[in-house]
Amino acid sequence: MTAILSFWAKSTPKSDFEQRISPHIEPLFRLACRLTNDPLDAEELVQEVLVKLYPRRHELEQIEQVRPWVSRVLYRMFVDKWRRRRLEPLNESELGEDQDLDREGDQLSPEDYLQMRTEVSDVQDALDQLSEEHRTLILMHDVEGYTLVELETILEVPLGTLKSRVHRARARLRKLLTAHKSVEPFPVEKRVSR
Amino acid sequence: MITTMHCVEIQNLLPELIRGELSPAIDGYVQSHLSNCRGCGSVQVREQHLQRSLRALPVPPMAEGFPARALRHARGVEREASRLSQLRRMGRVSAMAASVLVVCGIAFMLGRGSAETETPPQVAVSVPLGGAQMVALKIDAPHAFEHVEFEVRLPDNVALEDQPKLREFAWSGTLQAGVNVLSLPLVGIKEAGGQLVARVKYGSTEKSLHIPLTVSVQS
Repeated sequence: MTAILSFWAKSTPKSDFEQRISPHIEPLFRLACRLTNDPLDAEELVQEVLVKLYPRRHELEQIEQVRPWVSRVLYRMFVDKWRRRRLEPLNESELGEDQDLDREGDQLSPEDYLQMRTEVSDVQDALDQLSEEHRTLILMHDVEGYTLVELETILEVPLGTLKSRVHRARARLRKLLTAHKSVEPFPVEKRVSR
Repeated sequence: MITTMHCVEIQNLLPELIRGELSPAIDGYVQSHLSNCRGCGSVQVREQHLQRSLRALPVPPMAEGFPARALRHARGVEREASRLSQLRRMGRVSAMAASVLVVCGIAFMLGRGSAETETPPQVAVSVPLGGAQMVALKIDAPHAFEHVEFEVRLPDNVALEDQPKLREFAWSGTLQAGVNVLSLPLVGIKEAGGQLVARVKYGSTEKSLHIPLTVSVQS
């Protein structure tokens, strides 16, 4: 009779790779959603990233800053394989319960919350009109909060170039929003004289 | 020292100011300018609205259980690829020598002989550098044993797949009557020779096994 010692099945802890990568899966998914505009595509993209990274787990152990490193892998994969797909705006059913709006809106009056919803919608419209380069920069830096130093790693672009590109992307975004009358933010004096 | 900045330069710094990314000196300078410049103050309010709207852009929630499912799938793909790779290697070398088969069977008896026994020297097991190799330790037990203590110590040239930092490990378990198999998925990490040491202890009886492991580049 042959018995298999059950040591591995019972007590194998989560691998170092999984422990290191797990906290980054949700941010990767968010980034993938921003890039692909589709949650199912985002899952597929993240899945492909994990499949690609698993054999490189020993390399990952040497990485100090995991987030920009894995984000770069995702971004490269998106650029190489995914971005040719047509980008469609996210539809309402995919957005769940306005989770981000609600998070921000908790501290706002009903009027300001309504105002913010309008602004968010207009900002999304303006973002969709940006060039892919500008859109990616705004989404990564201003929306998802990647620092310029992280973006230097992810996008493999020098810091100085990134700064000027972000500046141009923001200027373009502001211009698009200004052209969109309804989103022109109310001036300070009107707010204080109410 | 900060040289004088014009309104345009101040306004260019507003996103970084709002994000808290300016150095304390520049932050103070910009704040001071804003408290005295109505035009820049107005732009600051607009920028705050824009930044808030950008941060509030909705994103669909990640499906529940997706991380575990995705990791499981990635692990499965990797194991399958590793298995296929091993099978290909086995196919290439099987005609040359049966001794380089992936699974290495080594048997020793527990419950017989003296209290402390070392098994005779074993034939070296070859592990590919950067590749995985399953090494199976066979423990032949004449009858069932409970509360058996196991201990494994790895040489520097190999690591456990998925647990590279685990160099020595021990646990308690049972042995069933007959052949018991402990499978160790090893990865070659250094082109060198080494010796894996396994110990099985039951009561006052202890058996140890030294398995030479050679890690080399395999085409």
